[in-house]
Amino acid sequence: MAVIEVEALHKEFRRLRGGRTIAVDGLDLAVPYGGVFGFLGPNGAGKTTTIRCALGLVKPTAGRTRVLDAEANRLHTVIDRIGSIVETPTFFPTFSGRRNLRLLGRVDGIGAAAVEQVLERVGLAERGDDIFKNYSLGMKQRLGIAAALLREPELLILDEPANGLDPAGIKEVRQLLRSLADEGRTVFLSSHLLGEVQQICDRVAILARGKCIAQGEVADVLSRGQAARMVVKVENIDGALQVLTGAGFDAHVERDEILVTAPASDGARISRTLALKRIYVAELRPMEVSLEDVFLQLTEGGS
Amino acid sequence: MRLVGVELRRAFARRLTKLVIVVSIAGIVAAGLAVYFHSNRTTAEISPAAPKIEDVKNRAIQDCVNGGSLDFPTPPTALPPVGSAQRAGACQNLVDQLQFNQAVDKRFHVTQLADVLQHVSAFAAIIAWLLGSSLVGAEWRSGSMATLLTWEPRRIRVTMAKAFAAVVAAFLIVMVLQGLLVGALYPAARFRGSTAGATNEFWRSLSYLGLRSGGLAAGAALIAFSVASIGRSTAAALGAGFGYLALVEGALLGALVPSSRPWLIVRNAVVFITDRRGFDVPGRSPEQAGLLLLGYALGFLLIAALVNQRRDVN
Repeated sequence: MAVIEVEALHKEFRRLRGGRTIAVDGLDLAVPYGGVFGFLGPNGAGKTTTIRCALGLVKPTAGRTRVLDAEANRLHTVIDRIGSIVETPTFFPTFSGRRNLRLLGRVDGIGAAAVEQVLERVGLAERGDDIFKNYSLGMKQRLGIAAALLREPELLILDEPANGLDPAGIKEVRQLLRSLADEGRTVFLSSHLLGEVQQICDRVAILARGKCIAQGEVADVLSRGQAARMVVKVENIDGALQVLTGAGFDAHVERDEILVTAPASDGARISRTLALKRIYVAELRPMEVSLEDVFLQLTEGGS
Repeated sequence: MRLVGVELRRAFARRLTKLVIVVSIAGIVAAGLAVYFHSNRTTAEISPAAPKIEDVKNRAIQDCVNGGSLDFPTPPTALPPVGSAQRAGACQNLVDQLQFNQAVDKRFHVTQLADVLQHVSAFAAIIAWLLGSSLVGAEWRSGSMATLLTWEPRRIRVTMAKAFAAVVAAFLIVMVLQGLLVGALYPAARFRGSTAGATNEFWRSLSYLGLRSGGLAAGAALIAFSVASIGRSTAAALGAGFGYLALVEGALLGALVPSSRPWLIVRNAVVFITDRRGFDVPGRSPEQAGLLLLGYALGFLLIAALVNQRRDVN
């Protein structure tokens, strides 16, 4: 059972001067209950449009979205179980953060105590009476997260929640999202901060040009990105490269290291091959593949 | 209902609303003071003017009987033709209805409050237009509408709640301001002018006029709200509103298409506010004019709701 289901979603925007822009092109997506789901993609990949469709802000040209088992036209039956931020959170510019939250809360009969609680949780309690338009981008994001948390939702849909936050704020948000997921909630996180995503997400989907090009658990997606490689450090780089390629390895030099296309289980064979030629390794380890590497490889390939 | 309550709180908490109220109250206080001090005429100053009143009235009746150009408002079809037997009597009645004594006697008469409220109703409608359009236009501009729609995705419900808030806010503000205006002007009549004619019937009629003025403001707020919802901008509603009233109604339709006149907003608003059958729109009763204006306002709201229901929120 998926908390968010997207089937063959297609969204076109008509341009004022004619022509169309395809924002989402036949997207299929299934976000399982629980954990943090990372939703990645370069600018213009269709992430925000997909989120807008899921939240009923934008009507799909074709396809459908279901959130918490509710079709788009029944979204109001589950909306009180969803907290969301879409791009930069926007509130009444001349009202304070606290007043904005209280007004939103009143829509659902949520009292002032809950407002204070979420302001405290996002670190805005002391600045809650400041006018929203005077907030920094990071403070606006915090207020948006506070609004998303106000209903104690079981599903959080967050579009770039760390946008504009300083490093300390990013870390706080990371911990907050992880703790929310650990409480049993589902966090659907769209982000450009791939390092952050890699640290907190259980599963990811990668979008490019409106299509999903990879989806699954983080480890699976990482392994899908590129072949496993070993890093070899020796004193005699040229000699070692000659020995390894002579032994049939696919190897090349990058900076002062030799990169060998081989799984970690080939480490002993690499070491023995070099040692037989009296070249002794100073360092031999599997090369770590980051989500960023995979993301760039997949999205550049896709484009 | 909670959404309506929230929207009402939001409407009254807005800076523009507060500014309009403060500026209006300042204007009312200034008007009250100005009229109070301007109305400082002693009885001795009025007495010599008394004969002049009769002169002015007689001259006006004679002008009317002769079919001369009258420098006071007359219904275009109200008078019998010049030279007919009924003309003189009709002119006498007409001039009797006009308060010539107040034209000569410069004191502030409590009965003039009706004229004041009639004239102020146009300003009230403009203020309501501004409040109604800004209430929703500012939300689209700031993007907070999208935030609200992620809390309440039923757009028709959101539109209706906001429209209701705009109507109620405009009506209440205009009613309170009119009350304050009457309160500010009454001392001038009571202490330095005249309260003659302040019968129960007069106060009932004045209250009814105030209600009609509040109703007109509410209608203006609703139309402005709807136009701003469709254009998603306060400026669009202000531009469209004033452009339509000044250019389309004032210049094009009003002047070039006479058959359109019975259906124009301004003419019907005048009939509705003045409470005179046939005034500005022959044959149209104030109730009919009010219902027509209500129909226009609800029509605009329906269009706005349908447009909002279909359009994307980016």
